Amino acid sequence: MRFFDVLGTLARIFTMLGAVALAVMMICTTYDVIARAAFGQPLHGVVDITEIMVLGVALLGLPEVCLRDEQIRVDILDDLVPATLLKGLKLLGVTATIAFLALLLANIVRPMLDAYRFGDIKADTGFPVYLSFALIFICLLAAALTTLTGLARLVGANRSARP
Amino acid sequence: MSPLAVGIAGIVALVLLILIRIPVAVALGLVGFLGYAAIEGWTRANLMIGGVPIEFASMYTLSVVPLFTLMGSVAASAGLSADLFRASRVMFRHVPGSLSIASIFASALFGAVCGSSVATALTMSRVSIPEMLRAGYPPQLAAGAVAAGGTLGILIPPSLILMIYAIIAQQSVAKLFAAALIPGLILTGFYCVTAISYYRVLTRPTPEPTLEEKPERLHTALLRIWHVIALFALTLGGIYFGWFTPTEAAAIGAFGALGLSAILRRQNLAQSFGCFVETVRLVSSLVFIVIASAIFSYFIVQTGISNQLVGSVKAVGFGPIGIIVAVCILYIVMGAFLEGIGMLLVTVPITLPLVLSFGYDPIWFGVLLVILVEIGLIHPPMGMNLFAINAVTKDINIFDIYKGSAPFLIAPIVLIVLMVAYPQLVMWLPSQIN
Repeated sequence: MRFFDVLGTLARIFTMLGAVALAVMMICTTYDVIARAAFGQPLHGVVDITEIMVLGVALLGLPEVCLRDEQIRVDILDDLVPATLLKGLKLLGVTATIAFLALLLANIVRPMLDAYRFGDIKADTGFPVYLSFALIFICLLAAALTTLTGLARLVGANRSARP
Repeated sequence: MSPLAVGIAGIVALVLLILIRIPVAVALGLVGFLGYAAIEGWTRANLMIGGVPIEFASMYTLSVVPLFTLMGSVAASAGLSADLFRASRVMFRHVPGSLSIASIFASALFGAVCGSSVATALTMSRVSIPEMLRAGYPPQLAAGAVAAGGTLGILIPPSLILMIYAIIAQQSVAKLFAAALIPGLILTGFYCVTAISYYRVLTRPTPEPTLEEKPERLHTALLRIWHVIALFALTLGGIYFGWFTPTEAAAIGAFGALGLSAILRRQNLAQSFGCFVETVRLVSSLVFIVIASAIFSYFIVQTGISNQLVGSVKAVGFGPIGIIVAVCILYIVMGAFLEGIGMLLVTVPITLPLVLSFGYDPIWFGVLLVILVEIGLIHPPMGMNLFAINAVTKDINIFDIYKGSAPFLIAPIVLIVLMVAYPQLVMWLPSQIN
Protein backbone atom coordinates (compact mmCIF):
# COMPACT_ATOMS: atom_id res chain seq x y z
CA MET A 1 0.00 0.00 0.00
CA ARG A 2 2.88 2.30 0.84
CA PHE A 3 4.27 1.91 -2.68
CA PHE A 4 0.93 3.14 -4.12
CA ASP A 5 1.01 6.17 -1.81
CA VAL A 6 4.53 7.04 -2.91
CA LEU A 7 3.46 6.74 -6.56
CA GLY A 8 0.46 8.99 -5.90
CA THR A 9 2.68 11.64 -4.31
CA LEU A 10 5.14 11.33 -7.18
CA ALA A 11 2.35 11.81 -9.72
CA ARG A 12 1.18 14.93 -7.85
CA ILE A 13 4.73 16.33 -7.84
CA PHE A 14 4.95 15.73 -11.61
CA THR A 15 1.70 17.68 -12.14
CA MET A 16 3.01 20.52 -10.00
CA LEU A 17 6.20 20.62 -12.06
CA GLY A 18 3.95 20.85 -15.13
CA ALA A 19 2.20 23.81 -13.49
CA VAL A 20 5.58 25.48 -12.97
CA ALA A 21 6.43 24.85 -16.65
CA LEU A 22 3.13 26.49 -17.62
CA ALA A 23 3.95 29.51 -15.46
CA VAL A 24 7.44 29.80 -16.99
CA MET A 25 5.96 29.59 -20.50
CA MET A 26 3.37 32.26 -19.73
CA ILE A 27 5.85 34.64 -18.07
CA CYS A 28 8.54 34.25 -20.76
CA THR A 29 6.09 34.82 -23.62
CA THR A 30 4.50 37.83 -21.90
CA TYR A 31 7.92 39.29 -21.09
CA ASP A 32 9.01 38.76 -24.71
CA VAL A 33 5.99 40.67 -26.05
CA ILE A 34 6.39 43.55 -23.59
CA ALA A 35 10.17 43.80 -23.96
CA ARG A 36 9.89 43.69 -27.75
CA ALA A 37 7.21 46.37 -27.87
CA ALA A 38 8.65 48.65 -25.20
CA PHE A 39 12.42 48.33 -25.65
CA GLY A 40 12.83 46.57 -28.98
CA GLN A 41 14.64 43.74 -27.17
CA PRO A 42 12.83 40.40 -27.45
CA LEU A 43 13.73 37.54 -25.14
CA HIS A 44 16.39 35.42 -26.82
CA GLY A 45 15.28 31.83 -27.42
CA VAL A 46 11.65 32.33 -26.42
CA VAL A 47 10.45 29.85 -29.06
CA ASP A 48 12.84 27.18 -27.73
CA ILE A 49 11.78 27.89 -24.14
CA THR A 50 8.10 27.63 -25.13
CA GLU A 51 8.66 24.35 -26.98
CA ILE A 52 10.49 22.83 -23.99
CA MET A 53 7.92 24.07 -21.48
CA VAL A 54 4.91 22.99 -23.54
CA LEU A 55 6.40 19.49 -23.62
CA GLY A 56 6.49 19.58 -19.82
CA VAL A 57 2.92 20.89 -19.57
CA ALA A 58 1.70 18.29 -22.06
CA LEU A 59 3.25 15.24 -20.42
CA LEU A 60 3.97 15.94 -16.75
CA GLY A 61 0.27 15.68 -15.92
CA LEU A 62 -0.07 12.29 -17.58
CA PRO A 63 0.91 10.14 -14.53
CA GLU A 64 -1.80 11.79 -12.43
CA VAL A 65 -4.33 11.53 -15.27
CA CYS A 66 -3.62 7.77 -15.43
CA LEU A 67 -3.72 7.43 -11.66
CA ARG A 68 -7.10 9.18 -11.44
CA ASP A 69 -8.35 7.28 -14.50
CA GLU A 70 -9.29 10.58 -16.18
CA GLN A 71 -8.67 9.47 -19.75
CA ILE A 72 -11.44 10.20 -22.25
CA ARG A 73 -13.45 7.07 -22.98
CA VAL A 74 -16.95 6.11 -24.12
CA ASP A 75 -18.91 4.47 -21.30
CA ILE A 76 -22.29 3.84 -22.92
CA LEU A 77 -22.03 0.11 -22.13
CA ASP A 78 -21.65 0.67 -18.39
CA ASP A 79 -25.37 0.41 -17.65
CA LEU A 80 -26.07 -2.26 -20.26
CA VAL A 81 -23.64 -5.07 -19.40
CA PRO A 82 -23.46 -7.30 -16.29
CA ALA A 83 -21.15 -6.13 -13.50
CA THR A 84 -18.71 -9.01 -14.05
CA LEU A 85 -18.31 -8.16 -17.72
CA LEU A 86 -17.88 -4.49 -16.87
CA LYS A 87 -15.05 -5.37 -14.49
CA GLY A 88 -13.47 -7.43 -17.28
CA LEU A 89 -13.75 -4.50 -19.69
CA LYS A 90 -12.18 -2.17 -17.14
CA LEU A 91 -9.28 -4.62 -16.73
CA LEU A 92 -8.92 -4.80 -20.48
CA GLY A 93 -8.85 -0.99 -20.73
CA VAL A 94 -6.12 -0.67 -18.12
CA THR A 95 -4.09 -3.50 -19.69
CA ALA A 96 -4.39 -1.90 -23.15
CA THR A 97 -3.23 1.43 -21.67
CA ILE A 98 -0.16 -0.23 -20.17
CA ALA A 99 0.56 -1.94 -23.50
CA PHE A 100 0.35 1.36 -25.41
CA LEU A 101 2.54 3.19 -22.89
CA ALA A 102 5.07 0.33 -23.02
CA LEU A 103 5.07 0.54 -26.82
CA LEU A 104 5.80 4.27 -26.70
CA LEU A 105 8.48 3.78 -24.03
CA ALA A 106 10.25 1.04 -25.97
CA ASN A 107 10.38 3.12 -29.12
CA ILE A 108 11.46 6.41 -27.56
CA VAL A 109 14.83 4.99 -26.46
CA ARG A 110 16.37 4.81 -29.92
CA PRO A 111 15.70 8.42 -31.00
CA MET A 112 16.81 9.56 -27.51
CA LEU A 113 20.15 7.75 -27.88
CA ASP A 114 20.54 9.04 -31.45
CA ALA A 115 19.92 12.62 -30.28
CA TYR A 116 22.56 12.11 -27.56
CA ARG A 117 25.07 10.46 -29.90
CA PHE A 118 24.77 13.11 -32.61
CA GLY A 119 24.64 16.02 -30.15
CA ASP A 120 21.32 17.41 -31.40
CA ILE A 121 20.54 20.79 -29.85
CA LYS A 122 17.81 23.44 -30.05
CA ALA A 123 18.73 26.18 -32.51
CA ASP A 124 18.55 29.29 -30.28
CA THR A 125 19.31 28.08 -26.78
CA GLY A 126 21.59 25.12 -27.47
CA PHE A 127 19.38 22.96 -25.24
CA PRO A 128 20.23 19.26 -25.80
CA VAL A 129 17.34 17.51 -27.56
CA TYR A 130 18.03 14.21 -25.79
CA LEU A 131 16.87 15.85 -22.56
CA SER A 132 13.46 16.48 -24.14
CA PHE A 133 13.32 12.79 -25.06
CA ALA A 134 14.40 11.92 -21.50
CA LEU A 135 11.53 14.02 -20.12
CA ILE A 136 9.07 12.15 -22.37
CA PHE A 137 10.57 8.82 -21.26
CA ILE A 138 10.29 9.67 -17.55
CA CYS A 139 6.69 10.92 -17.91
CA LEU A 140 5.61 7.84 -19.89
CA LEU A 141 7.35 5.54 -17.39
CA ALA A 142 5.63 7.27 -14.46
CA ALA A 143 2.29 7.06 -16.33
CA ALA A 144 2.84 3.32 -16.93
CA LEU A 145 3.60 2.81 -13.22
CA THR A 146 0.52 4.73 -12.07
CA THR A 147 -1.61 2.77 -14.55
CA LEU A 148 -0.16 -0.43 -13.07
CA THR A 149 -1.37 0.86 -9.71
CA GLY A 150 -4.86 1.08 -11.19
CA LEU A 151 -4.53 -2.46 -12.51
CA ALA A 152 -3.40 -3.75 -9.09
CA ARG A 153 -6.33 -1.99 -7.42
CA LEU A 154 -8.80 -3.46 -9.91
CA VAL A 155 -7.41 -6.98 -9.46
CA GLY A 156 -7.41 -6.51 -5.67
CA ALA A 157 -11.03 -5.31 -5.73
CA ASN A 158 -12.05 -8.31 -7.85
CA ARG A 159 -10.33 -10.73 -5.44
CA SER A 160 -11.88 -9.19 -2.34
CA ALA A 161 -15.32 -9.20 -4.01
CA ARG A 162 -15.18 -13.01 -4.48
CA PRO A 163 -17.07 -15.08 -1.88
CA MET B 1 -4.27 -8.00 -47.31
CA SER B 2 -4.31 -4.83 -49.36
CA PRO B 3 -3.66 -1.50 -47.56
CA LEU B 4 -7.31 -0.60 -48.16
CA ALA B 5 -8.53 -3.81 -46.47
CA VAL B 6 -6.15 -3.17 -43.56
CA GLY B 7 -7.56 0.37 -43.34
CA ILE B 8 -11.16 -0.83 -43.20
CA ALA B 9 -10.27 -3.52 -40.63
CA GLY B 10 -8.45 -0.87 -38.60
CA ILE B 11 -11.43 1.49 -38.56
CA VAL B 12 -13.80 -1.34 -37.54
CA ALA B 13 -11.36 -2.39 -34.78
CA LEU B 14 -11.08 1.22 -33.60
CA VAL B 15 -14.85 1.60 -33.28
CA LEU B 16 -15.13 -1.72 -31.41
CA LEU B 17 -12.30 -0.88 -29.02
CA ILE B 18 -13.81 2.54 -28.26
CA LEU B 19 -17.22 0.97 -27.64
CA ILE B 20 -15.78 -1.55 -25.16
CA ARG B 21 -14.40 1.23 -22.95
CA ILE B 22 -10.79 1.26 -24.14
CA PRO B 23 -9.59 4.89 -23.67
CA VAL B 24 -9.89 6.79 -26.98
CA ALA B 25 -6.18 7.62 -27.01
CA VAL B 26 -5.13 4.01 -26.42
CA ALA B 27 -7.50 2.67 -29.09
CA LEU B 28 -6.24 5.23 -31.63
CA GLY B 29 -2.59 4.56 -30.82
CA LEU B 30 -2.72 0.77 -30.80
CA VAL B 31 -4.81 0.49 -33.97
CA GLY B 32 -2.66 3.11 -35.69
CA PHE B 33 0.59 1.34 -34.77
CA LEU B 34 -0.55 -2.20 -35.63
CA GLY B 35 -2.18 -1.04 -38.87
CA TYR B 36 0.93 0.90 -39.90
CA ALA B 37 3.08 -2.15 -39.10
CA ALA B 38 0.80 -4.39 -41.18
CA ILE B 39 1.34 -2.14 -44.21
CA GLU B 40 4.89 -0.84 -43.79
CA GLY B 41 6.52 -3.43 -41.52
CA TRP B 42 7.56 -3.35 -37.85
CA THR B 43 10.81 -1.44 -38.35
CA ARG B 44 9.12 1.55 -39.98
CA ALA B 45 6.23 1.41 -37.50
CA ASN B 46 8.70 1.52 -34.58
CA LEU B 47 10.50 4.50 -36.13
CA MET B 48 7.21 6.32 -36.71
CA ILE B 49 5.86 5.81 -33.17
CA GLY B 50 9.20 6.81 -31.61
CA GLY B 51 9.16 10.21 -33.28
CA VAL B 52 5.52 11.19 -32.76
CA PRO B 53 5.55 12.21 -29.05
CA ILE B 54 8.32 14.81 -29.43
CA GLU B 55 6.99 16.01 -32.77
CA PHE B 56 3.51 16.75 -31.46
CA ALA B 57 3.98 17.43 -27.74
CA SER B 58 6.69 20.05 -28.24
CA MET B 59 5.09 21.98 -31.09
CA TYR B 60 5.21 25.75 -30.60
CA THR B 61 1.64 26.03 -31.89
CA LEU B 62 0.44 23.59 -29.19
CA SER B 63 1.27 26.20 -26.53
CA VAL B 64 -1.98 28.12 -27.27
CA VAL B 65 -3.94 25.20 -25.79
CA PRO B 66 -2.62 25.31 -22.20
CA LEU B 67 -2.38 29.10 -22.15
CA PHE B 68 -5.96 29.77 -23.31
CA THR B 69 -7.19 26.90 -21.09
CA LEU B 70 -5.49 28.59 -18.14
CA MET B 71 -7.19 31.88 -19.01
CA GLY B 72 -10.59 30.15 -19.03
CA SER B 73 -9.87 28.29 -15.82
CA VAL B 74 -8.91 31.52 -14.03
CA ALA B 75 -11.99 33.30 -15.43
CA ALA B 76 -14.26 30.51 -14.15
CA SER B 77 -12.55 30.31 -10.77
CA ALA B 78 -12.63 34.10 -10.32
CA GLY B 79 -16.42 34.17 -10.71
CA LEU B 80 -16.52 36.32 -13.86
CA SER B 81 -19.61 34.40 -15.01
CA ALA B 82 -21.69 35.87 -12.16
CA ASP B 83 -20.73 39.43 -13.19
CA LEU B 84 -21.58 38.69 -16.80
CA PHE B 85 -24.97 37.25 -15.91
CA ARG B 86 -25.89 40.23 -13.71
CA ALA B 87 -24.88 42.70 -16.41
CA SER B 88 -26.73 40.78 -19.14
CA ARG B 89 -29.82 40.59 -16.92
CA VAL B 90 -29.92 44.38 -16.71
CA MET B 91 -29.39 44.77 -20.45
CA PHE B 92 -32.29 42.49 -21.40
CA ARG B 93 -34.67 43.16 -18.52
CA HIS B 94 -37.45 44.50 -20.81
CA VAL B 95 -37.40 41.51 -23.18
CA PRO B 96 -39.72 38.51 -22.63
CA GLY B 97 -37.76 35.63 -21.13
CA SER B 98 -35.09 38.12 -20.09
CA LEU B 99 -33.29 35.81 -17.66
CA SER B 100 -32.90 33.03 -20.23
CA ILE B 101 -31.60 35.55 -22.78
CA ALA B 102 -29.26 36.99 -20.17
CA SER B 103 -27.99 33.48 -19.54
CA ILE B 104 -27.29 32.89 -23.25
CA PHE B 105 -25.70 36.33 -23.72
CA ALA B 106 -23.55 35.91 -20.60
CA SER B 107 -22.47 32.47 -21.87
CA ALA B 108 -21.42 34.05 -25.18
CA LEU B 109 -19.38 36.68 -23.32
CA PHE B 110 -17.91 34.05 -21.03
CA GLY B 111 -17.07 31.97 -24.11
CA ALA B 112 -14.93 34.92 -25.21
CA VAL B 113 -12.53 34.22 -22.35
CA CYS B 114 -13.11 30.51 -21.82
CA GLY B 115 -12.67 27.99 -24.62
CA SER B 116 -14.60 25.12 -23.08
CA SER B 117 -18.28 24.39 -23.55
CA VAL B 118 -18.74 22.20 -20.48
CA ALA B 119 -16.90 24.72 -18.28
CA THR B 120 -19.19 27.48 -19.59
CA ALA B 121 -22.31 25.37 -18.99
CA LEU B 122 -21.13 24.38 -15.50
CA THR B 123 -20.33 27.90 -14.34
CA MET B 124 -23.42 29.46 -15.92
CA SER B 125 -25.74 26.80 -14.51
CA ARG B 126 -24.48 27.55 -10.99
CA VAL B 127 -25.13 31.25 -11.51
CA SER B 128 -28.24 31.52 -13.65
CA ILE B 129 -30.44 28.43 -13.15
CA PRO B 130 -31.20 29.11 -9.46
CA GLU B 131 -32.20 32.70 -10.36
CA MET B 132 -34.42 31.53 -13.24
CA LEU B 133 -36.13 28.94 -11.04
CA ARG B 134 -36.58 31.49 -8.26
CA ALA B 135 -38.22 33.87 -10.77
CA GLY B 136 -40.69 31.13 -11.79
CA TYR B 137 -39.15 30.13 -15.13
CA PRO B 138 -40.07 26.63 -16.35
CA PRO B 139 -37.18 24.26 -15.51
CA GLN B 140 -36.97 23.03 -19.12
CA LEU B 141 -36.35 26.57 -20.39
CA ALA B 142 -33.79 27.31 -17.67
CA ALA B 143 -31.84 24.13 -18.42
CA GLY B 144 -32.18 24.44 -22.21
CA ALA B 145 -30.95 28.04 -22.27
CA VAL B 146 -27.88 27.22 -20.18
CA ALA B 147 -27.09 24.04 -22.15
CA ALA B 148 -27.37 25.89 -25.47
CA GLY B 149 -25.52 28.96 -24.18
CA GLY B 150 -22.73 26.69 -22.96
CA THR B 151 -22.05 25.49 -26.50
CA LEU B 152 -21.07 29.05 -27.45
CA GLY B 153 -17.95 28.50 -25.33
CA ILE B 154 -16.41 26.38 -28.09
CA LEU B 155 -17.55 28.49 -31.03
CA ILE B 156 -16.76 31.99 -29.86
CA PRO B 157 -12.96 32.23 -29.81
CA PRO B 158 -10.76 31.24 -28.07
CA SER B 159 -12.06 27.71 -28.63
CA LEU B 160 -10.33 24.58 -27.35
CA ILE B 161 -11.75 22.43 -30.15
CA LEU B 162 -10.67 24.91 -32.83
CA MET B 163 -7.16 24.89 -31.38
CA ILE B 164 -7.05 21.08 -31.50
CA TYR B 165 -8.45 21.12 -35.06
CA ALA B 166 -5.80 23.68 -36.05
CA ILE B 167 -3.09 21.28 -34.87
CA ILE B 168 -4.39 18.13 -36.56
CA ALA B 169 -5.48 19.86 -39.79
CA GLN B 170 -2.37 22.12 -39.80
CA GLN B 171 -4.38 25.31 -40.14
CA SER B 172 -3.85 28.83 -38.79
CA VAL B 173 -5.31 29.27 -35.28
CA ALA B 174 -5.75 33.00 -35.93
CA LYS B 175 -7.78 32.38 -39.10
CA LEU B 176 -9.92 29.74 -37.40
CA PHE B 177 -10.66 32.10 -34.51
CA ALA B 178 -11.58 34.85 -36.96
CA ALA B 179 -13.77 32.48 -38.96
CA ALA B 180 -15.73 31.36 -35.89
CA LEU B 181 -16.56 34.83 -34.62
CA ILE B 182 -19.42 35.80 -36.98
CA PRO B 183 -21.13 32.37 -36.82
CA GLY B 184 -20.75 32.57 -33.03
CA LEU B 185 -22.54 35.91 -32.91
CA ILE B 186 -25.28 34.69 -35.28
CA LEU B 187 -25.81 31.56 -33.19
CA THR B 188 -26.06 33.70 -30.04
CA GLY B 189 -28.83 35.67 -31.78
CA PHE B 190 -30.61 32.48 -32.88
CA TYR B 191 -30.47 31.03 -29.38
CA CYS B 192 -31.95 34.28 -27.99
CA VAL B 193 -34.82 34.14 -30.53
CA THR B 194 -35.39 30.48 -29.57
CA ALA B 195 -35.44 31.41 -25.87
CA ILE B 196 -38.03 34.18 -26.45
CA SER B 197 -40.25 31.86 -28.51
CA TYR B 198 -39.88 29.00 -26.06
CA TYR B 199 -40.66 31.31 -23.15
CA ARG B 200 -43.83 32.52 -24.88
CA VAL B 201 -44.96 28.95 -25.63
CA LEU B 202 -44.29 27.65 -22.12
CA THR B 203 -45.60 30.64 -20.15
CA ARG B 204 -48.27 31.97 -22.53
CA PRO B 205 -50.85 33.02 -19.95
CA THR B 206 -48.48 34.50 -17.39
CA PRO B 207 -46.62 37.81 -17.53
CA GLU B 208 -42.82 38.01 -17.33
CA PRO B 209 -41.85 37.14 -13.76
CA THR B 210 -39.93 39.91 -12.05
CA LEU B 211 -37.30 39.66 -9.36
CA GLU B 212 -38.03 41.47 -6.15
CA GLU B 213 -34.69 43.21 -5.92
CA LYS B 214 -34.21 46.72 -7.34
CA PRO B 215 -32.68 46.56 -10.84
CA GLU B 216 -29.18 47.86 -11.32
CA ARG B 217 -28.48 50.76 -13.72
CA LEU B 218 -27.16 49.74 -17.15
CA HIS B 219 -23.90 51.67 -16.95
CA THR B 220 -23.19 50.26 -13.47
CA ALA B 221 -23.82 46.76 -14.78
CA LEU B 222 -21.54 47.34 -17.77
CA LEU B 223 -18.82 48.73 -15.52
CA ARG B 224 -18.97 45.44 -13.65
CA ILE B 225 -17.80 43.53 -16.72
CA TRP B 226 -15.10 45.88 -17.99
CA HIS B 227 -12.44 43.29 -17.19
CA VAL B 228 -13.99 40.65 -19.45
CA ILE B 229 -14.36 43.13 -22.31
CA ALA B 230 -10.76 44.29 -21.78
CA LEU B 231 -9.42 40.71 -21.79
CA PHE B 232 -11.35 39.82 -24.93
CA ALA B 233 -10.35 43.02 -26.73
CA LEU B 234 -6.69 42.58 -25.82
CA THR B 235 -6.31 38.90 -26.72
CA LEU B 236 -8.58 38.43 -29.72
CA GLY B 237 -8.18 42.04 -30.92
CA GLY B 238 -4.41 41.55 -30.74
CA ILE B 239 -4.63 38.48 -32.97
CA TYR B 240 -7.02 40.07 -35.49
CA PHE B 241 -4.95 43.24 -35.82
CA GLY B 242 -1.72 41.26 -36.10
CA TRP B 243 -0.16 42.63 -32.89
CA PHE B 244 0.40 39.17 -31.42
CA THR B 245 0.66 35.57 -32.54
CA PRO B 246 -2.04 33.32 -31.00
CA THR B 247 0.51 31.96 -28.50
CA GLU B 248 1.48 35.47 -27.41
CA ALA B 249 -2.18 36.50 -27.15
CA ALA B 250 -2.90 33.41 -25.06
CA ALA B 251 0.02 34.15 -22.72
CA ILE B 252 -1.06 37.76 -22.31
CA GLY B 253 -4.68 36.66 -21.79
CA ALA B 254 -3.69 34.15 -19.08
CA PHE B 255 -1.37 36.68 -17.44
CA GLY B 256 -4.10 39.36 -17.64
CA ALA B 257 -6.75 37.04 -16.16
CA LEU B 258 -4.45 36.20 -13.25
CA GLY B 259 -3.58 39.89 -12.75
CA LEU B 260 -7.25 40.93 -12.81
CA SER B 261 -8.32 38.21 -10.40
CA ALA B 262 -5.58 39.38 -8.03
CA ILE B 263 -6.43 43.09 -8.38
CA LEU B 264 -10.15 42.40 -7.89
CA ARG B 265 -9.28 40.07 -4.98
CA ARG B 266 -11.25 37.24 -6.57
CA GLN B 267 -8.80 34.46 -5.77
CA ASN B 268 -5.75 33.87 -3.60
CA LEU B 269 -2.41 32.36 -4.53
CA ALA B 270 -3.49 28.79 -3.70
CA GLN B 271 -6.59 29.10 -5.91
CA SER B 272 -4.47 30.50 -8.74
CA PHE B 273 -2.04 27.59 -8.43
CA GLY B 274 -5.05 25.26 -8.46
CA CYS B 275 -5.97 26.69 -11.88
CA PHE B 276 -2.46 25.87 -13.16
CA VAL B 277 -2.66 22.30 -11.83
CA GLU B 278 -6.16 21.76 -13.28
CA THR B 279 -4.94 23.07 -16.66
CA VAL B 280 -1.93 20.73 -16.70
CA ARG B 281 -4.12 17.68 -16.05
CA LEU B 282 -6.64 18.65 -18.74
CA VAL B 283 -3.95 19.43 -21.30
CA SER B 284 -2.08 16.19 -20.58
CA SER B 285 -5.14 14.05 -21.25
CA LEU B 286 -5.80 16.03 -24.47
CA VAL B 287 -2.22 15.84 -25.74
CA PHE B 288 -2.14 12.10 -25.10
CA ILE B 289 -5.07 11.80 -27.54
CA VAL B 290 -3.41 14.19 -30.01
CA ILE B 291 -0.26 11.99 -30.00
CA ALA B 292 -2.34 8.85 -30.52
CA SER B 293 -4.41 10.56 -33.20
CA ALA B 294 -1.22 11.46 -35.06
CA ILE B 295 -0.20 7.78 -35.03
CA PHE B 296 -3.63 6.86 -36.37
CA SER B 297 -3.39 9.57 -39.05
CA TYR B 298 -0.06 8.18 -40.29
CA PHE B 299 -1.75 4.79 -40.62
CA ILE B 300 -4.78 6.22 -42.46
CA VAL B 301 -2.49 8.03 -44.92
CA GLN B 302 -0.70 4.74 -45.68
CA THR B 303 -3.97 2.93 -46.38
CA GLY B 304 -5.00 5.40 -49.09
CA ILE B 305 -8.52 5.03 -47.73
CA SER B 306 -9.28 8.74 -48.08
CA ASN B 307 -8.54 8.70 -51.82
CA GLN B 308 -10.65 5.55 -52.24
CA LEU B 309 -13.46 7.13 -50.28
CA VAL B 310 -13.34 10.30 -52.39
CA GLY B 311 -13.45 8.20 -55.56
CA SER B 312 -16.34 6.06 -54.31
CA VAL B 313 -18.36 9.02 -53.07
CA LYS B 314 -17.93 10.83 -56.41
CA ALA B 315 -18.81 7.66 -58.30
CA VAL B 316 -22.04 7.35 -56.32
CA GLY B 317 -22.91 10.83 -57.57
CA PHE B 318 -22.64 12.89 -54.40
CA GLY B 319 -22.28 16.59 -55.11
CA PRO B 320 -20.78 19.23 -52.77
CA ILE B 321 -24.11 19.72 -50.96
CA GLY B 322 -24.75 15.97 -50.73
CA ILE B 323 -21.37 15.34 -49.13
CA ILE B 324 -21.90 18.07 -46.53
CA VAL B 325 -25.35 16.68 -45.68
CA ALA B 326 -23.81 13.18 -45.33
CA VAL B 327 -20.96 14.50 -43.15
CA CYS B 328 -23.43 16.44 -40.96
CA ILE B 329 -25.61 13.35 -40.45
CA LEU B 330 -22.54 11.26 -39.64
CA TYR B 331 -21.32 13.72 -37.00
CA ILE B 332 -24.76 14.27 -35.48
CA VAL B 333 -25.24 10.51 -35.08
CA MET B 334 -21.72 10.05 -33.68
CA GLY B 335 -22.23 13.04 -31.39
CA ALA B 336 -24.99 11.09 -29.66
CA PHE B 337 -22.40 8.64 -28.34
CA LEU B 338 -18.93 10.12 -28.61
CA GLU B 339 -17.20 12.96 -26.80
CA GLY B 340 -16.47 15.97 -29.06
CA ILE B 341 -12.68 16.15 -29.11
CA GLY B 342 -12.32 12.38 -29.33
CA MET B 343 -14.81 12.30 -32.20
CA LEU B 344 -12.88 15.01 -34.04
CA LEU B 345 -9.51 13.31 -33.60
CA VAL B 346 -10.83 9.95 -34.75
CA THR B 347 -12.63 11.23 -37.84
CA VAL B 348 -10.81 14.29 -39.21
CA PRO B 349 -8.00 12.27 -40.87
CA ILE B 350 -10.73 10.65 -43.01
CA THR B 351 -13.37 13.36 -43.45
CA LEU B 352 -11.07 16.35 -44.07
CA PRO B 353 -9.53 15.05 -47.34
CA LEU B 354 -13.00 13.97 -48.45
CA VAL B 355 -14.55 17.40 -47.89
CA LEU B 356 -11.53 19.23 -49.36
CA SER B 357 -11.83 17.16 -52.55
CA PHE B 358 -15.24 18.75 -53.09
CA GLY B 359 -13.71 22.23 -52.99
CA TYR B 360 -14.54 23.26 -49.42
CA ASP B 361 -12.07 25.33 -47.43
CA PRO B 362 -10.42 23.66 -44.37
CA ILE B 363 -11.09 26.78 -42.27
CA TRP B 364 -14.80 26.67 -43.20
CA PHE B 365 -14.90 22.95 -42.44
CA GLY B 366 -13.28 23.52 -39.02
CA VAL B 367 -16.08 25.92 -38.05
CA LEU B 368 -18.69 23.48 -39.38
CA LEU B 369 -17.17 20.70 -37.24
CA VAL B 370 -17.34 22.85 -34.13
CA ILE B 371 -21.04 23.53 -34.75
CA LEU B 372 -21.65 19.80 -35.24
CA VAL B 373 -19.81 19.07 -32.00
CA GLU B 374 -22.03 21.74 -30.35
CA ILE B 375 -25.11 19.83 -31.50
CA GLY B 376 -23.65 16.67 -29.94
CA LEU B 377 -23.18 18.55 -26.67
CA ILE B 378 -26.90 19.27 -26.30
CA HIS B 379 -28.61 16.31 -27.88
CA PRO B 380 -29.59 13.13 -26.02
CA PRO B 381 -28.50 10.68 -24.87
CA MET B 382 -24.85 11.67 -24.39
CA GLY B 383 -24.90 15.51 -24.51
CA MET B 384 -22.14 16.48 -22.10
CA ASN B 385 -23.66 19.89 -21.34
CA LEU B 386 -26.90 18.20 -20.29
CA PHE B 387 -25.03 15.98 -17.83
CA ALA B 388 -23.03 18.96 -16.56
CA ILE B 389 -26.27 20.82 -15.79
CA ASN B 390 -27.76 17.69 -14.23
CA ALA B 391 -24.71 17.37 -11.98
CA VAL B 392 -25.00 20.96 -10.75
CA THR B 393 -28.79 21.39 -10.47
CA LYS B 394 -30.32 18.39 -8.77
CA ASP B 395 -33.78 20.08 -8.83
CA ILE B 396 -34.19 19.48 -12.58
CA ASN B 397 -34.36 15.88 -13.74
CA ILE B 398 -32.49 14.72 -16.84
CA PHE B 399 -35.65 14.26 -18.93
CA ASP B 400 -36.67 17.91 -18.36
CA ILE B 401 -33.14 18.87 -19.41
CA TYR B 402 -33.51 16.74 -22.58
CA LYS B 403 -36.87 18.37 -23.33
CA GLY B 404 -35.52 21.83 -22.61
CA SER B 405 -32.55 21.50 -24.95
CA ALA B 406 -34.56 20.09 -27.89
CA PRO B 407 -35.87 23.44 -29.29
CA PHE B 408 -32.33 24.83 -29.19
CA LEU B 409 -31.15 22.17 -31.66
CA ILE B 410 -32.91 24.02 -34.49
CA ALA B 411 -30.63 27.08 -34.24
CA PRO B 412 -27.28 25.39 -35.11
CA ILE B 413 -28.95 23.48 -37.97
CA VAL B 414 -30.26 26.76 -39.43
CA LEU B 415 -26.77 28.23 -39.02
CA ILE B 416 -25.24 25.31 -40.96
CA VAL B 417 -27.73 25.88 -43.79
CA LEU B 418 -26.75 29.57 -43.84
CA MET B 419 -23.05 28.68 -43.83
CA VAL B 420 -23.49 26.38 -46.81
CA ALA B 421 -25.55 28.99 -48.70
CA TYR B 422 -23.29 31.92 -47.73
CA PRO B 423 -19.73 30.68 -47.01
CA GLN B 424 -18.63 34.34 -46.72
CA LEU B 425 -20.23 34.36 -43.26
CA VAL B 426 -17.28 32.24 -42.21
CA MET B 427 -14.59 33.20 -44.71
CA TRP B 428 -14.90 37.00 -44.78
CA LEU B 429 -13.24 37.83 -41.45
CA PRO B 430 -10.23 35.48 -41.92
CA SER B 431 -9.60 37.14 -45.29
CA GLN B 432 -9.41 40.53 -43.53
CA ILE B 433 -6.92 39.71 -40.78
CA ASN B 434 -3.30 40.72 -40.96
